[in-house]
Amino acid sequence: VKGVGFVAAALAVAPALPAQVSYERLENAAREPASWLTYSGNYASHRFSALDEIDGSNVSRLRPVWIYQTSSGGALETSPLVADGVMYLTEPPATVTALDAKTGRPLWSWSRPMPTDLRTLGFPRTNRGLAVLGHNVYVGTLDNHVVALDRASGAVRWDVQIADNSLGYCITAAPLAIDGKIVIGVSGGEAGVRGFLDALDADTGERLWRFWTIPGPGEPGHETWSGEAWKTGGGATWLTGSYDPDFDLLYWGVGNPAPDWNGDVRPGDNLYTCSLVALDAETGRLKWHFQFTPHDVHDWDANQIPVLIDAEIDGRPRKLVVMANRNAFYYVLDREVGTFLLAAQYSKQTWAKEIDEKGRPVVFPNTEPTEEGTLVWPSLQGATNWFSPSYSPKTRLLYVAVREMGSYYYKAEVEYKPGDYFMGGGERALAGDEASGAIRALDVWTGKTVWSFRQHSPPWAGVLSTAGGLVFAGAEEGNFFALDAATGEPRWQFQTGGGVRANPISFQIEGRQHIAIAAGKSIIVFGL
Amino acid sequence: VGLRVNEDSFTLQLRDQAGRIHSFSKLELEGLEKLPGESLMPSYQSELSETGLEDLVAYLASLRGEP
Repeated sequence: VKGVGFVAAALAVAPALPAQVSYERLENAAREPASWLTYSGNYASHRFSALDEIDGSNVSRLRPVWIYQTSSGGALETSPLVADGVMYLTEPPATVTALDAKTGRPLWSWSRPMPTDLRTLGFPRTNRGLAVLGHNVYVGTLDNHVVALDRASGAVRWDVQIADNSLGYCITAAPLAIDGKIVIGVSGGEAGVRGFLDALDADTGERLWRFWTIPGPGEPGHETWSGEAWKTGGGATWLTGSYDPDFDLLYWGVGNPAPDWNGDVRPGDNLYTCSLVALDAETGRLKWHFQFTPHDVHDWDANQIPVLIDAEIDGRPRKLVVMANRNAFYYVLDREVGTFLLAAQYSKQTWAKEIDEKGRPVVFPNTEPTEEGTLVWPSLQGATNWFSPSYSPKTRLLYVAVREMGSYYYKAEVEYKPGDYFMGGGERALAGDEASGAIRALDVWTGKTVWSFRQHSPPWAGVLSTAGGLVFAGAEEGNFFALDAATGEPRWQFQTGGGVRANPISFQIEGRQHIAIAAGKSIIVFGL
Repeated sequence: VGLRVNEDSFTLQLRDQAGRIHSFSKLELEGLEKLPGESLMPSYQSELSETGLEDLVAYLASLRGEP
């Protein structure tokens, strides 16, 4: 089949496309707001855009510029990337699509057929995004392949399998590309996998290191497990982490212990579940850890976005990592050595009296799951979840999408069977008018709520803040909206017609600022 | 006063007793009061005796025909 060649003459000569998205561009992504080069916008995971064309004075005129309707089924939770005029996105279950960022017209598409016996235990058949580095984009698939695709054509450059789906492992997270490495985590905490984080050679896919989140015999932390429980201990790494190039440290959240709700079979703190781990990016060795919820029995994974912030506290410059955790507390840690500095409740919770001076929760009695059901806030979906927060260096506020919902937690007997659910109970969430949501602005140094915008229902969508003084967020009922970043006052909303379960991004098309969000089964790009 | 047909963070759709749909922007409302558990249906409490209610239910249950 012969193609048809065209020569298009433009009135203005477009600048030549950069040859590649270099590591240096990724490291300085915050200074290149015309693009959106990493899952969270920069290595510090601020999900902040320095673009200020769209602001409080004109956001009421924001309108859709183009809509791309995906053709595949499943939950569209993708956070697109934009590089050099091309938008890259994932579609469930395992498709990567490149679009002309100006028009939304497809440039290429790649799909991996999923096996008929694919196991996705405890989460939807989704994919939350990809990474770009050099000439390639990188994606993980539900059947645990990590694939490098040529940015220009979608051709497969390499394809490696990192885990066994028959045991319950999957990949839903976007990889993180750092200098020469692709870092990728796995799902499977509801199947009793032993979690890990892999670093692959960006050129070849060869594994450079693996960090097991559940320490084996002889390793520090193994003493927090009993008997053989560590082998099926969970600790999935199913959300993209952050990176500090100066310390060469990766910051990655670790998920729940398994079984989720019956902790009787795994006495101990169960490290490094429900923890943040800081790993040497060169070797994968653990530098430090901090456990938010020791011996968790409510499924409160720490798979939230760690946000890196530099601040001056009491006259002393500090390099911090902060996290609004699923357990309803906001934490501030020193990101060089992991020292606990502060915790503050940011959402309703009924499980902990306080967080003590070492960062350990003082747990109320009788809050564990029972056969009859125990009502506890937050619900197992947490006070927040995988959807991204945003930090604005202009307001110095952390914006968090918050779920105000409680659950009855149940405990049951469970036996491990490879590739099957290994949860030991369940929940019945309080829904309807008993639950609500919020976009909440937290003072990053104190964790105190500065403002809160009430949402009709608990959200599954992330937050973007901009230098235009706006915060963009989405709702289950399809609203995509903008709030004043300083006050939380609503400034604009658009009914997308589909539930918003994704994170917004911002970028430029021909020098004009745009905002993109996945809603329903579509990508919608807005501009003035 | 109306029955909530739908609601989101910004809008509210109510059906009044005549069946008309009213759409509101929440930002333009001076006040909004939810009446959980209350029905717009007139109460039958004083309209039927206990026997009358049982007869009504028995009659309704007998109305089974081809779909």
